[in-house]
Amino acid sequence: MELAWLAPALNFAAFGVVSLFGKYLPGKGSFLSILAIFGGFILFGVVLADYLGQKEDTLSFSRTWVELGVARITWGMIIDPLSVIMLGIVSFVALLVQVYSLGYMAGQERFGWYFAAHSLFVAAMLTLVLADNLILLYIAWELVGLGSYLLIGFWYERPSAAEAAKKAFVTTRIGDVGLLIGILMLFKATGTFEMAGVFAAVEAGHVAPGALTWATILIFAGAMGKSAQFPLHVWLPDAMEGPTPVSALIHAATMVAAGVFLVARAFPLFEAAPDARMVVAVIGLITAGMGATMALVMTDLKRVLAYSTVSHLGFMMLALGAGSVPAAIFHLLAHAFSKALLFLGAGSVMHAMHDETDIRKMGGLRKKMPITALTFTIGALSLAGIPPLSGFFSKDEMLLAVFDGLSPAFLVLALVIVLFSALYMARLLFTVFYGASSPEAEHAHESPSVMTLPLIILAAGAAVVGFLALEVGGYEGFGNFITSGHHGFEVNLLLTVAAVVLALVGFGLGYAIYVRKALSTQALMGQFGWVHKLLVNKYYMDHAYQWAIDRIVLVFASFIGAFDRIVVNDMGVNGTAETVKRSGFRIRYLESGMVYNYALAMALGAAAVALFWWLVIPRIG
Amino acid sequence: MITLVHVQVLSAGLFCIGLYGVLARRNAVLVLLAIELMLNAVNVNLVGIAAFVDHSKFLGQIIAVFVITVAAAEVGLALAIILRLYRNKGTTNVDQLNLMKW
Repeated sequence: MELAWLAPALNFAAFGVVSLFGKYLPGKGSFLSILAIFGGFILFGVVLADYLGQKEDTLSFSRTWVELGVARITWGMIIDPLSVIMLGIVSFVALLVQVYSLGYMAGQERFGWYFAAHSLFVAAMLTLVLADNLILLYIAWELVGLGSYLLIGFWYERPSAAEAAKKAFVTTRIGDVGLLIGILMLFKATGTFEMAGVFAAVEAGHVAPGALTWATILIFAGAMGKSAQFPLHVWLPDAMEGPTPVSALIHAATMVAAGVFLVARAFPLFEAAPDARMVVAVIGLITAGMGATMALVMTDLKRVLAYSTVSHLGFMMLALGAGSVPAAIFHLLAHAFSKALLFLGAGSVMHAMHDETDIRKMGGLRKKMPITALTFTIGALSLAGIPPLSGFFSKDEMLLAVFDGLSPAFLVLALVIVLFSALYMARLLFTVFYGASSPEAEHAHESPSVMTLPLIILAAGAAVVGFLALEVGGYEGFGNFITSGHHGFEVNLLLTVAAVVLALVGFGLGYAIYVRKALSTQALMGQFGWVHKLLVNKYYMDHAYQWAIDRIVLVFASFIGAFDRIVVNDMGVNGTAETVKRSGFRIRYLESGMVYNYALAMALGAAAVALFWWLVIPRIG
Repeated sequence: MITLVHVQVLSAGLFCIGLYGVLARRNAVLVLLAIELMLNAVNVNLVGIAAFVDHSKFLGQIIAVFVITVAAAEVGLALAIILRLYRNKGTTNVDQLNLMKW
């Protein structure tokens, strides 16, 4: 189990070797990256087996790294159910995405660099999930941000990709600042960076409630950035400018999972600060609602999936806000499989359609690419919450958590969002794969097996991981596993039935609208024109940010810039030099060259000194 | 009866005449003469104070002798410079010797 550190280390090593020497290696070094992440997956198996055999709550190893007075910074790992599960999700999804990328990215320029950046991204994420102290976590957190920047901006020749990468980096940075301040506040209050120490101090009540609430909210701000929570969600839909496998990785395993993981990891803080937990729940609900409604109207294949991710992440935060870590992590797991599957399926569609992403130009692809269509259907049904797929189980647990932990208003809105998520998934599925074949889809063909194999594996996963929730024989269910037996999953039959009915209604509505054409989308758009406009314009959030940047940030920046140019540079630095130079020009005319002028000045000076000596000194002395 | 004040008034008068000569004269040789006058005013002052304040050590007299010596050397040097100036510039008028300005 001590070997778990090898998982990130292998990937960091792969990053180093592939980025430096990739071009001399066969396959541009891609096989090294895949071997490294495969090693990570094997290590997950080893650690899991060890953990199950040992049956201890938490194991942590740490070494001192830096000692600065009172501050002791360590580096080390926590092995607990949470980190084991995350290790599994990250390494498994990353492995499949990398294998898929072999086919998808074949023939691309900078093929080797793509895999190197992938390794860096995955290594950072693995470090993040294993980290046992807040400083190491923060370092890994920032490295994840760097990895996403490099991969989203992989096609940096395209201005839109460069913009999207910048947007992702800057937007998440806003949250990261909050995270850093939160970490420092906790350090100030508890005197340690070690998570176990911080949590113990918080539980013992050594931290003032006000400071704790603020520190916790600031830590959540970091999670808001990375996990694309309102109002920092705007980067995620743009992040699809990167290669599609990267989107799959970001949406499933690495980037956005980091925020949910952080809240789950720091959950003792949220337990001690109910106000902060309420903030999490409200933000989660808003995000889930906004994401689901926007996903209803987008016409870009990847954008629909991106808003669906935003919505599901909001749902996870809602579950965390309701106080249930197991439900949120279980949904993270189910969502990781389903969303990775959907994105890789979308990539397969784009591959077949020559990078077309407009779903209005697709249709009837089911006949052209049966494997992609079948696996995509499984993923969509899973996320829509249709039993017995994984999304059904996890969504059920989350709804139950909301039911138990929050007021009924939250539950009602959450159920509406369930309906919406079934509806947009149905819309996507039926528009792309069913119905009449569009002219653009005439020459579509199934993707190579290196791409379909990961799809099949992920589809199998998306179909069955839900059963992990059940208690079978000696296995006590996912809820008990992740909380070490403190919080098992339960079932509320009424709620389950309600959720399934709503999901089926949503799906049926989608079928009626997009296959049967019982309701005309044109008529709907006419009826709810302003709603449609609001949604297509993404609630004007991007406009608002653009306005704020143009009118506030840039104006402030130009003011600061003018201050620097005029006051600091012209008046301060050049002004001093200019004054000296100009006064020198004036004063030099005193040097007449006439010797008797100098003599007079000397005489007067001597007389002045004498007078001073004679008249002033005796009086003041 | 001659007192110290008389000597000092004489010295100050000599000094002022010398100073006036330095400031007012245009001929370099006369400026030099005026400087000599100022030096002698200082000598009178030194010797007078030495005589009236303390007879025993001859301090003022010794310094006066030094001043005379140095003044002699200075006059020799200054006259040589003035001679060179006249050879080069064709004048000893200090108004026209203003190369050292600005």
